[in-house]
Amino acid sequence: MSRTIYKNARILVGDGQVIEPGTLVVEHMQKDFIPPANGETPVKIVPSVTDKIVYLGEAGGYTGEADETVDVQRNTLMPGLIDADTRLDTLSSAANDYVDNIGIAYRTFLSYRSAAEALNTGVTTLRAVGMPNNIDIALKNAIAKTMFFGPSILATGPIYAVTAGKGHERYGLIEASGTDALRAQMRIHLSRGLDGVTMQVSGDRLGTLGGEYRKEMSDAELQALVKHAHGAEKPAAVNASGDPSVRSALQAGVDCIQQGYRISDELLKKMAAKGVSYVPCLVSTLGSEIGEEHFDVARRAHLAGVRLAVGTGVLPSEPVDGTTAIIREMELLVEAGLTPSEAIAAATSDAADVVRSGQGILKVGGKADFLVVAGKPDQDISCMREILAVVKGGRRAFCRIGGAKERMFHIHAPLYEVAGGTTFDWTEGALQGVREPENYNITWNLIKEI
Amino acid sequence: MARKTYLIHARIIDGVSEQAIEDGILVFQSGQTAQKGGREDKILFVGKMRDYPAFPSEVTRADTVLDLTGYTLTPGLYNVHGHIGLTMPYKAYRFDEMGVAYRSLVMLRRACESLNCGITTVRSAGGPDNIDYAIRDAVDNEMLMASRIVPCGALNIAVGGHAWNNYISTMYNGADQFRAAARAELAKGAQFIKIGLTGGAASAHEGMADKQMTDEEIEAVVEVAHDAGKRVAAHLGGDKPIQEFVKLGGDSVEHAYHMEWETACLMKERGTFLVPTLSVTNCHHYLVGHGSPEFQVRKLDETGEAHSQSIGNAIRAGVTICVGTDLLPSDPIDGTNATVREMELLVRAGLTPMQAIKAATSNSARLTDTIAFTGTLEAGKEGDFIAVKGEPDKQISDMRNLCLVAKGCRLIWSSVPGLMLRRYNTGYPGMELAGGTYLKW
Repeated sequence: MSRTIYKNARILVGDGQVIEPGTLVVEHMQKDFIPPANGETPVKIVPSVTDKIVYLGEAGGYTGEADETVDVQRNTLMPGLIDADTRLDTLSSAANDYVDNIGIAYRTFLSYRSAAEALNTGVTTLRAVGMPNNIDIALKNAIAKTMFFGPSILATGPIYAVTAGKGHERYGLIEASGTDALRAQMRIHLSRGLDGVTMQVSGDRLGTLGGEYRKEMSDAELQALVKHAHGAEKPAAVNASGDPSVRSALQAGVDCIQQGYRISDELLKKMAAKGVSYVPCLVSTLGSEIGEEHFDVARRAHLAGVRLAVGTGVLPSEPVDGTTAIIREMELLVEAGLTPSEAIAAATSDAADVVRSGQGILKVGGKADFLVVAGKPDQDISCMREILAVVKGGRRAFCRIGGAKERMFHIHAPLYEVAGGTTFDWTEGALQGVREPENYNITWNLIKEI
Repeated sequence: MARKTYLIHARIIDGVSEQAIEDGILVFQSGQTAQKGGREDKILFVGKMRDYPAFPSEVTRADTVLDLTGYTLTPGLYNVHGHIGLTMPYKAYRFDEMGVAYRSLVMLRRACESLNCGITTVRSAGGPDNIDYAIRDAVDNEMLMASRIVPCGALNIAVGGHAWNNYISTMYNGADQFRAAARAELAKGAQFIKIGLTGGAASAHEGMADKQMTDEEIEAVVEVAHDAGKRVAAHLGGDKPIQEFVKLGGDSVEHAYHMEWETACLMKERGTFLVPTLSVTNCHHYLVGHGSPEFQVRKLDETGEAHSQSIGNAIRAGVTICVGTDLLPSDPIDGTNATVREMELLVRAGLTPMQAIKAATSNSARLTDTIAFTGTLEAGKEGDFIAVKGEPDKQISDMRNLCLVAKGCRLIWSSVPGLMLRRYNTGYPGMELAGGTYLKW
């Protein structure tokens, strides 16, 4: 057991409180493999890290010992960011394909790489959306069990969509028709350990009806799915755009609308009244033909009193306008009318409520997920562009405070940056859809044969 | 802009020469571009200090100079029979408990641990679901860092054959099915094909030397693989099956629990490689400690003596020996990792320490067809190397004193005074990247 003091910090607690100058103390606890001496047999263990915040308050309030002291140099210490809508296996657009051209194993590694990049950009918790083949659950467990370092992951499995719905040519959708068939899919995936579910209600814009978004999922199907998710106590998010879809979603009782490229003021008021959150993922449509209309929805949603939360809809680490997607999304929310403080809340405490992660506010006894940011981001959101340190679960990924060059977390060779999002085409050189012979039978169990 | 590193006053075992280079110097350059910088990374010079007069005059400020007096540099180690998906104990039935995605991460973790142990290349001993290919691709594409993986896909066995109950094999009947299987693996980029030719200790009701594949099936695999320029490796227990495999054109004999002198001579004559995996018959406490089934412990205990004799025969006959463990390359055992321990066991069986180091480097590099770019320390190569304190070519147990690991001319970690660094950690900061099968994932 050891302790680290972060002193001389300007602390944004996350509940509106600012402590200046403040001190935060982390207690480190771990159960780790101990290399045995020659002749001794190693002990089998379940490794774990259970660091927590043991002090948070005024500079003079902590008098205990510490093994390490980090001078935050008056920079801002704030809760780690939460991305409520991440597509971890986002590939370059060229990878839209009917076949799984990279395979489950490689897609898993790609997703881990994306998660590691997200941590480097300040995201300490993310909700993975649209992940096929249990990859999100595997990543969540591997990181929680300390096999690999990375952000905490909330798994939502694949996106439930109707047969041949929008995006059916890409991986990440479960397609079915009818309440029973869709519910069966949700049952299967919930049994594997999800933290939430995502439904896709809307399709593309129509050529008629004034370019309204096509409502793909029936009211009955959506209601059955939302009811089932709520029965399992999971938050239900839907990708919905256009009034027909959003109205159906609100009737079904969803917790969160994602995307929402078009929503009328009437329905935004309803969302505010019902306490339904909105994760617009503005950065995913930035500069596209629907970008302006989408941005206007976010602006009007804020005016209507809807709670907004930060999601990217792509990779948090995606390079956008000289920064990363997650930071750009926060800036876009400020441009849409939120104050910098509100935008920070949208990426921390509000996002935590939306994804139900229990993080987002720093507190004694809580997990030590926090960032150090240069300047005062609650007054000028662009300060978020300069993240000086990321601490996840009490462990520092890197620290650049005062010109320090500490980097504790490396998934790559020395001198390599773990960043870049989809600017790398990882499909190049990867396995390309080879079909196994018919008798490639990995599930053959001779016990059953007898 | 590449910068250079000078490792000076080191003893250097280059993997080729019979003698270590005393007072040697290794110069390498590493790129400083953020991504895909590996193309600039290469070894520039390996030799005696006095044969490199440009040192120290050419050294610039950006370069690193490290005095390795008292240390020996060797090429990065190979483990050419590594089960990176291994979970202990073996089960009597086959069930995918982890799922493909999670198993992928477990295997990646083991590849990371291997690299941490100085094992820069692992030849995977088989596993389904394309995971070994995926790790190879992720590492080669510079997405993640881990040991280089030489994949073969699944272990191809006859129905109900060796290791049918483990999640490493796929089962076939008849030459055509085996042929189709080998073709599919080659299409995915298999660098060799592995077959389960005889029984072993993995399954309860097979003898250690039962021949399980027909000659037609073996021939089919050998033909398909050789036509694609790839080698065939076979799990082999008994003398007669080994002989038949070698005569049918097989390239590498794995285990060889029972092998007579004549067969060893035949292997030598044909240039067949041998991967003894002595670890597996010398790990009683490891197996028992993991709660292994009784039949497995008994079979391997009973085979120990014969196995030592077989390998002794092979060594005397001059067969090319490579280092493989059948365990996790990084598994902690006897105060070291399984790969180093295998080298010690090979010395006990009759190799000189220098031969054992070659077995773990240049021999294995030839077996895996990676000799063109790594496996030895020569100018122009990729720069996979380690430093150990002491003189392992005189005393093999000095291989335990690992002090520096580099892969592709990037320093992974070093505990050499003058250059203390750890620049690679996929795990939680502050935790060991170790543990192998002793971590319950």
